[in-house]
Amino acid sequence: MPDFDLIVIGAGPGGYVAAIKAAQHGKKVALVEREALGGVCLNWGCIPTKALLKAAEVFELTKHASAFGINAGTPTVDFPKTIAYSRGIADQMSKGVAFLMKKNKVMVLTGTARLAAKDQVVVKHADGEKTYSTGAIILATGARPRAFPHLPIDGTLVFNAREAMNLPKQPKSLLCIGAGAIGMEFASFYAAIGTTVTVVEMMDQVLPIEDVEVSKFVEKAFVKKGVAIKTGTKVAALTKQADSVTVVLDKGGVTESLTVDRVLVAVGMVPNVEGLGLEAVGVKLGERGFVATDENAQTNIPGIYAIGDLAGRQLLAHKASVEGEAAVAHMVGHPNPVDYTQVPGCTYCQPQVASLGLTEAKATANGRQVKIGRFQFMASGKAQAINHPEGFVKLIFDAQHNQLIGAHLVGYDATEMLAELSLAMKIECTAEELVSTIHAHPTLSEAVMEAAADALGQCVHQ
Amino acid sequence: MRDSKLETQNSKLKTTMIIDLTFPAMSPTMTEGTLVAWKVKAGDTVKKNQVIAEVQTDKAVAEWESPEAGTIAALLLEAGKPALVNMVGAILTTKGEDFAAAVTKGKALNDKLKSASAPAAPAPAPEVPAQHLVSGPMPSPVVNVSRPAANRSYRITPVAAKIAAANGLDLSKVAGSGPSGRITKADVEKAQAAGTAKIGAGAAKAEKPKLKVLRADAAGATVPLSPMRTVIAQRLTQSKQQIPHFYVSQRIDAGALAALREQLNLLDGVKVTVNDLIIRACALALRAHPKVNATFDGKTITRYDSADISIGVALPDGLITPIVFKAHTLSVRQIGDAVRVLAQKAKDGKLQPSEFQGGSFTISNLGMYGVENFQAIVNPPQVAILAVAGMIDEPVVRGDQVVPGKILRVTLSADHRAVDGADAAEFLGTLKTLLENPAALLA
Repeated sequence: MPDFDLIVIGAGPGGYVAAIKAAQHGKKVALVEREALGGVCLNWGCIPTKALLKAAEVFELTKHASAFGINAGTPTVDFPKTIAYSRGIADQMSKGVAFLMKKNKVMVLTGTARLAAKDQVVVKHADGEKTYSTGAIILATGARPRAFPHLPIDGTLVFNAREAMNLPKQPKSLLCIGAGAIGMEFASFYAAIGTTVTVVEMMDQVLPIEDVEVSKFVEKAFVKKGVAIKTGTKVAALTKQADSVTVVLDKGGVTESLTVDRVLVAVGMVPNVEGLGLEAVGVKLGERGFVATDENAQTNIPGIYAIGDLAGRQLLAHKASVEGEAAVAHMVGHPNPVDYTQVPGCTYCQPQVASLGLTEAKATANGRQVKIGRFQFMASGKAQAINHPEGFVKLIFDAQHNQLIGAHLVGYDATEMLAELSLAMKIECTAEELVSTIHAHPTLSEAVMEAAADALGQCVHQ
Repeated sequence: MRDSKLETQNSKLKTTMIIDLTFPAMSPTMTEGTLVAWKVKAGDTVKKNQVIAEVQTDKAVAEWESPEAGTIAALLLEAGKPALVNMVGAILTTKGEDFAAAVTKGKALNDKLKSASAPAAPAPAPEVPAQHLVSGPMPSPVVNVSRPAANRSYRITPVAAKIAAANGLDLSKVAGSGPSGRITKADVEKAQAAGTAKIGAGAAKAEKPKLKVLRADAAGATVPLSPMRTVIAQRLTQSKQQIPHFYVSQRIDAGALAALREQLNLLDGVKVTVNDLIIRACALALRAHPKVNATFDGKTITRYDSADISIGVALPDGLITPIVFKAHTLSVRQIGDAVRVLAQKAKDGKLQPSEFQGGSFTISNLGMYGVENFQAIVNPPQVAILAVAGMIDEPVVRGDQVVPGKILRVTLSADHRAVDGADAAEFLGTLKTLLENPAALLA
């Protein structure tokens, strides 16, 4: 008898979910973590940044309270307290995971793990190494920001997301390198609380993986808030002073110098594969050095799975969780493979961006005929009432059967509205089902129904 | 693992259950059919998926399976009678529960459905108490107790349902790969590509005993109209009442034709029939007389270049007219091959709508029965149909001699609104020339 049926290495949203799922199947499970339970997501990613962005929203709302006839005076930001609020949420969530492990009788091993064989894991505990035998292994060690020689990270002047959410004081000015989800969320947060923010992006649009209409809208909204957006631009050089940083920006050969307090580098992630013992058992790496897996999250070695950021594709917490579930399902003989075309993506800057499936460009790339429906929140009574008339819903349907193949939302709380569309896509809905589903009034979600109606040429309110 | 949870829940529910076995929809569009025969009687114990009855749809006979193991407590529908989808056909008990209330309720529901269906309204959703589950057809909004592959109820995604309806797929033959066996787009596309779910596929097996049953019935019993006969009755009544038919006959000296056929059949692997030669001759004649190769919608006559010839194929309970498309481009042998494939498909109930809808002209051949002559009813919107009688040994006059010969009589029925007597006569003249000089058919 091995010590465990399953050892999960890494307690992020992939690893801890996989551990619980396996335990629910009656498996004897160990979860190895070298830092805090919950991984980057709970401690240094998704959750604490949402706390910061909510704080920014509260500040902006209070600033504009007079629009609602409310006199709230002149609000100010107590930056350390805002950071403390965010850290408090992260701690609370991490403790929640510890409780779940206990409840599901998952053994938590604190330390650093490596594979010794395909059924043996060595854990380096504080008090020495111990080897555990196991039936199966799930690797879930995540990823970390990629290092660039010309952007030396020091954690104070030039830093990554982890430091950006835990700064000792609010910078007067900030340069965000990279306009992906991380860069745009921090840009949104710091700009809202009064920092002068510049965003530099090498690609031609902010949020490069989003539908171009959405990206253009977000860019305009940011510019309106005073954020300088420089797309098609790269950082050619970076020089540090005592308390500031000077960068040389290069846009198609035209250079410009910019001095800022702090620099956030948010471009690219690399998998945490080092020291895991992958070579020892022959686990193969795939594209860009991420661990290669099939749709059941299994590596080339039967019984060894890799999930989440370590396994590449979309680096998203929910993708990690679903891969964890798929790995366990496969392990117990009821495979439930992951459909990577249906992984939603959300960016929580203001306005929020939520998307799923194909962009218009991708949907039409191979000559496919599509029907597109749009609805502007400006025409939504609820959006007007809550003073967030910005943004729109854009839905893409296959023209043959009107099947939903892409959804792109931008606007207030857009991320909460995506779930309906995720379900719709999962159960292969067509525009007709979305249109004929009764949507409560007044809600922002009515825009989804109206956009679907628009695709069929039946829109009521625009 | 989601599946296993669901199964556990279901098996818990199953422990105390009376199940209504409702008359199944064998296709997404089916609203009624005929209960051909029960295969079980009250008191019988049945296994899960055991065939409990045969059901006649408008296209084929299919098997109705029990979704669960249990005891057939009561049969509520009468064999040989039409039934509406969703009617309660039988009550199944899983643990010998008291089923009297279920019978009353089922009968009430059936009456309600029957009165609601006049003239042809879709069956309304039955009201079902929570503990009283219904194994129903796809359009039924009620809870289904077992997995779709196992009975005639299916969970299906909206897109998959659309594709299945557009392509006439029999969903009871499609295995679902989605959550809890839901039929997905990929499943129907796979079934469509494999040709395994065409309506009527696999029904041939059930059709033979049915033939016997109907012939027995025909000897002195009242036979309710099958869905196919209902369609025939409607269409032909309409044709004969609305279309001003006229008839032109020709007598064809078929000696040379019979000789040619014999010669052709000397070739190894070739089996040419008189019918194949007649189709070929018609195809060539139609090209020469487009007025006969036409359709008429009451306002416009459409004449065709292509001779797409519908061929009447007799079925045990009616007939169907699959089409030899572009017959003028096919050799006699190719025509023969096409007709045999179509006839077999028709008999197996495997014809796709595209294989029997359309057509520019029809041939109805009763030659194999040796009839002397007959007139057919125009197959609208076509404007003409050729009735081909048997080849009969008769004396013929050659020169000034009476000699033994072979005579074939054909009669063209035509729609006088679109075709005149002279057109019909000219067409038949060409046809006669071709059939009496059949070497022309090999050109």
